[in-house]
Amino acid sequence: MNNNDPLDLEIRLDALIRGELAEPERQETLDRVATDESARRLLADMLDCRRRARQAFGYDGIEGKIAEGMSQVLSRLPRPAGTARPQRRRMLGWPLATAASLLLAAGIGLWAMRQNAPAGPTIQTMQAAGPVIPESTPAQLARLRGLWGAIASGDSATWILVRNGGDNFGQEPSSGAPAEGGAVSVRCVFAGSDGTILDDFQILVPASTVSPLAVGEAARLAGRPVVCDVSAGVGWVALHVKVDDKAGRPVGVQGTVKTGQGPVQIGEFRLGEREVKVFLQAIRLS
Amino acid sequence: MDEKKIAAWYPVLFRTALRLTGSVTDAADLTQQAFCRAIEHWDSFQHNCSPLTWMYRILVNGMKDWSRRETTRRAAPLDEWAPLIEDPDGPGVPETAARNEQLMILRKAIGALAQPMRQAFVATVLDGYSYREAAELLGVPVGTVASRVNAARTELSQTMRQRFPEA
Repeated sequence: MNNNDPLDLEIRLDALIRGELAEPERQETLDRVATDESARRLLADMLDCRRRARQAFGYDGIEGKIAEGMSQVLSRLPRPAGTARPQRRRMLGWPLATAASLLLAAGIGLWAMRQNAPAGPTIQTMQAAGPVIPESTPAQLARLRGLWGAIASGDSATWILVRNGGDNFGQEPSSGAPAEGGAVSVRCVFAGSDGTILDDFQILVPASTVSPLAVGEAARLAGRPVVCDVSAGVGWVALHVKVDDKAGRPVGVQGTVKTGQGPVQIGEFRLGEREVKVFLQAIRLS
Repeated sequence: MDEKKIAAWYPVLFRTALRLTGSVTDAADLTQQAFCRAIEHWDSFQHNCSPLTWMYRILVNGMKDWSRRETTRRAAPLDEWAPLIEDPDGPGVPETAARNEQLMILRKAIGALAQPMRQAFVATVLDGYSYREAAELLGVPVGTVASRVNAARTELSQTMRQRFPEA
């Protein structure tokens, strides 16, 4: 990145908020945002301008229409050979075990590709047929600690959405009390009943929040935005996630985990024909 | 074409169609038609431009057919279809009116931008094309798009500050 070229920075930030930067560049750009006040201002300016302009033209109210149209287009996609939907649950014995292993392996591969972790992460098996969620490496935690230290201000409760695979990156001050006692990394993973990871996000929040911090679009499921409220207290984190189904009805789950505990399934819900399991993990950063 | 591409491109093309037709229903129909055509002809895509630009051209061609059919209707300009924000749980009437006025002024300010700036701003900020995609659509270097969007933001910010110094 050319640090002296503001247009180069603007192009990088555009790619960052769209989730289009590959890992080394993404990391470099995040570090720049964390350490450079003018980069932070530019990012905030770009996000704020987009929000206001879209609001001014009524784009805020079209999410449902977009999701509806998108699901219709997806249903017209030709299904590749060999990926036909399983017909019945009566398929027992080794064929089922083999299929489950293949799906599990595909899930691990997909996750590994998405994570692109710098040093081999420890793999932790959640449950025999569930998804496999890698733990954060010490290097990743150190980076998050640095990010929190650089961005979170001491006079407001702040959250930072680190990764959501979409274009919603930012920080937002709340009207809560001053953030004290460091931060907690909250990871949420959505998985299908076959173990496939559908989406995930990670938010840094103060270790103790006065009121729930609301995140407008933490992830996307079936093309629809997932909204969440997250709260943290001494030794625990609570998360409420919800998404509108096709009929516009909110579905979701809420649950609490102990800080430091491995990923825990806090519930599941049905979104259209799909069963969605929700896993939550909270790691203290300081 | 796969699910990931559809998830990335559908919102962008839908917003483009909405801006050009002024109708949510027509935008949904046209976007779906464009995707159906693209899925059908995906194997014949020549890769002489980005896939999104190719999709954009399919959409615009569909739009031309649509506007020929629409003999009795004309696409309303953006300012006419944009709904005023009325949130029953939100601020009271005076605050809502003030907010609507701000949004109306912002819409007008965007419409009053010089054409090169407006094109770059609308393509990236409103429709959601990346700077690189917008550069290809507009036929200018990506740095020019970034420069125009940056200038548009500055101008809009100045306009809004002059009109609403207290905000």
